[in-house]
Parts: sequence; C-alpha cells; structure tokens
Amino acid sequence: MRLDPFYLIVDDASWLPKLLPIGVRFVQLRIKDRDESDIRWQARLARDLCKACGAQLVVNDYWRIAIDEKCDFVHLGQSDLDAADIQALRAHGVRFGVSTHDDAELHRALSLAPDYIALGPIYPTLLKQMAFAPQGLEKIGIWKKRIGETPLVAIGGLTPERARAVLEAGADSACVVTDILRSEDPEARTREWIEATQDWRDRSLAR
Amino acid sequence: MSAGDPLTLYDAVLSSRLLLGTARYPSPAILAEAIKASGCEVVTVSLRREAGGSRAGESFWRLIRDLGVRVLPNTAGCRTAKEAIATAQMAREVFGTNWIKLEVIGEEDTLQPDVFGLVEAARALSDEDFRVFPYTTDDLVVAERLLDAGCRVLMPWAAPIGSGRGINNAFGLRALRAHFPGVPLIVDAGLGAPSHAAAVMELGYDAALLNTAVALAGDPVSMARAFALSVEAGRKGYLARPMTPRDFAEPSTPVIGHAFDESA
Repeated sequence: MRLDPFYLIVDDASWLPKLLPIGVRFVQLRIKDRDESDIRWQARLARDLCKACGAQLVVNDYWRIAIDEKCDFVHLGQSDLDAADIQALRAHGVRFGVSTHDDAELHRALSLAPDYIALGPIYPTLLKQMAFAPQGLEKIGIWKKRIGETPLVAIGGLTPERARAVLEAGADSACVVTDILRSEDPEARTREWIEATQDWRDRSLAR
Repeated sequence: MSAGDPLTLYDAVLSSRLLLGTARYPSPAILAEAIKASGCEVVTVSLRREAGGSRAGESFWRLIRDLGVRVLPNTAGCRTAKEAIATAQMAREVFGTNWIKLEVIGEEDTLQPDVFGLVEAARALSDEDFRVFPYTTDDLVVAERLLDAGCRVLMPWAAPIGSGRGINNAFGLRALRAHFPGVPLIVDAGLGAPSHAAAVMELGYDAALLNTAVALAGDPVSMARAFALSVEAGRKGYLARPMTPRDFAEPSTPVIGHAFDESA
C-alpha cells in the first residue's frame, strides 16, 4: 500500500471543506479535549467529506470510533497501544499507524505489523513539548532500512522545503500540522505542500 | 404565490419564487424566523463556511433540517473548477442532494465569477448527475455555454455579491430573458432593497436569490417578508403585462362619456 506523500493533520473537521478540494488525499483528524459524542460526529463528517474527495481518513487515538464509523485508519501513540484492540481493528478492516521515537518503541511497533510507522520529531516542533530530541534526516534512512516495506511517515517541524528533504531521505509521507493550520493563509500553504510533494505523488502513481 | 403559477427547478415544483442564503444573520434564531417569514422553500448553505465540526456547525445543520426547506449547497469560496467540483462532491455526500449552486470566483474585489472555470465545472458536475445552478454574469455567450454543459437553470448576477446595488445592467438581463424564454432564470446577487427584487421579477425573471439584503437589514425578519411580497408583486405585475409607457400624459379620467370603455 502506498501513502500519499503529503499527510495533513487537522484539529477540527471544519478545516476539511476548505482544504480537501485543494487536493489533500491523506488526512488525520486529531481532536483533543472534546467529549466523545462531538468527536464521533466530527469523525463521521470527516469520513463523508474524505470519501467524496477520494481522500483517506485517519482518526487519532479513538480506535472504537474508527471501527464504528468505518474510517480508513486509526493512528495510535505508544501510550494508546496498551488500550487499543489490534485484533478488533484488523477484524473490521481498519488500518493503523503507530508513532515511534526510539529503538524500544520501534521494536514494539514492528511486533504489531502496523500499516505505517511514524518517526518524529524530525525537526524541533512547535506543537508540543517533546520528550525526544529532534531525530534529524539521517534517522529516516536508518528507520526505513529497519522497517522494510512498511510505509514510513516523517513528522515534526516540517515545511514544504523540509518535506522534500524527508521524502528524499526515504520517508514515504511527510506529515504536517502547524505549518498549515497556523499559517496566515492555510489554503495557499496547502497548495505549496501539494506542489512540493508532487514528484513523489507522480512516482507512486507510476509504480 | 398562487398555486396556479408554480416554479419548476429541475425535479422540484415550488410555489415560492424567493430563495434565501443562510449566512451573516445576527443569530440562528433570527435566521430561522426570517426563513419562515419569507415563505421561501429553498435555502443555500455553504459547506465551506458551515462545516464547523464543532457544536455550532452541528446545530446549524439541525436548524436548517428542522425548517423543512430544500437545501441548495453552494461552492462559495472556490477559486478553481477543481475546488468547486470537489466541494460539490462533498456537499452531495453531506447534504444528500445532487443540487449544487456552482460558484467559481475569479476576482477577489468584485467576487466576479470565473466563467471559464464555471463552464468547465458545470460540465463535469452535470456529467456526474448533479443539478447545477450556476452563478454567472449577464453574458449571453456564457449562458449558452452553460446550457450546452448541461445546466437547466441559469443564475445571472444583478450586481456583485453583497453590494446591494440592484440591477447594474438591465439591458443585459433583459437580453438574457428574451434569448432563453424556456429556461428558468434566477437573479442571484446584488439585490439590496425589495424594489430591486420587484424590478427583476417585472423583467420576467423566474425567481430571486438573495442573502445579504435580508441578513444585514436592521430587521431581517421584516425584510424577509418585504422581499417575499415584492417578489410576488413583481411576478404578478409581469404576468399582468404592464401598460406601454408614453412620452406624454393621457388623462386617466375621461372628461366626457363614461368611466368605462363601452365602445366594444
């Protein structure tokens, strides 16, 4: 399975009607601090919006909602792995990705045979206080070698220019939050991301 | 509007000839009251503005649903055919209707339609079985192209969106009406006062679509009613065939004979 080289994370489904039409094909809904009924409603809406635009939806963390609402993917952090029922996800055809930051986490992730592995933060990130120092570009090549065919997502402090660098270094997809959502003009910035990653999109279609 | 003068838009037969937008009202309650007061049966909604995953978005949609009116989703804010097509596809999924008010904006100051992108998107969407309501200018050739593309309704502007200027080009609107006698024509955008709506209906337009003129009025609910009345007045006036204007006076009260013409 190929991932789109541009992986957008949004914090609210209301971004999607604005950004999906520009050409986003792989998007994660990551909502914090809302009650579960609101998150479920947003996941349902996001699923319909993505379906209409031919995009794949990843729901962060809420794996039961992802199953109930028939979403394409769920993204699990290391701390989510304890609670998530991987067998149930597989039984319902919901794919999943896992965050990794070091060797120990990578081992654990690989033991579950996830549908993608995320590595971060590649660069210092503005979004959250990380317990891990920036990994740097070299780590991407190392990770890619170790995970083989499993798609690798790079995240943390990326911009369109840095996205090209991480894809060049071996990542299959470059993931972004802040650079787009906190941009002066998120729609224009999304266009720049799509253009910056177009070569990799074309390559993956050619295969 | 009387039951004997229905308006047919694609698969819908309507008795009201006023269509309202749902943006910019002071509150959801005023929006709901204004729609009720207008008696309108079709409202436009913007997926891009109202998707608000938050509770506000959810309650907005519930409110529209509870009003029992037909929803005409729009592609407001789209700047390319590609964006408009994707927005239309999302709207169909979310609102469960294949009606789409197609807007492709080409210029930011006037919000003038990009008619080239509009025709392109109209063709693609018609091919996908959408019922397209294109927001266009008063250009006759563009109108022809839109009909070729599969549109069965045209929505020319009176003036730029939100300007409230009334009819900018009466000649152009009249020419469209004369050229496409069988096509439902809806004036969309630029109306500010009820008299503007009456004027377009007197030109033989089939309906009027407006938003700002009601939403930003001092009393939106009363203004919604005023527009409903003026649309009805204009329509009835058009059907009753107004007298021909003259350059000179003609006494309306006969100075000799009878008050009624008995020569017949």
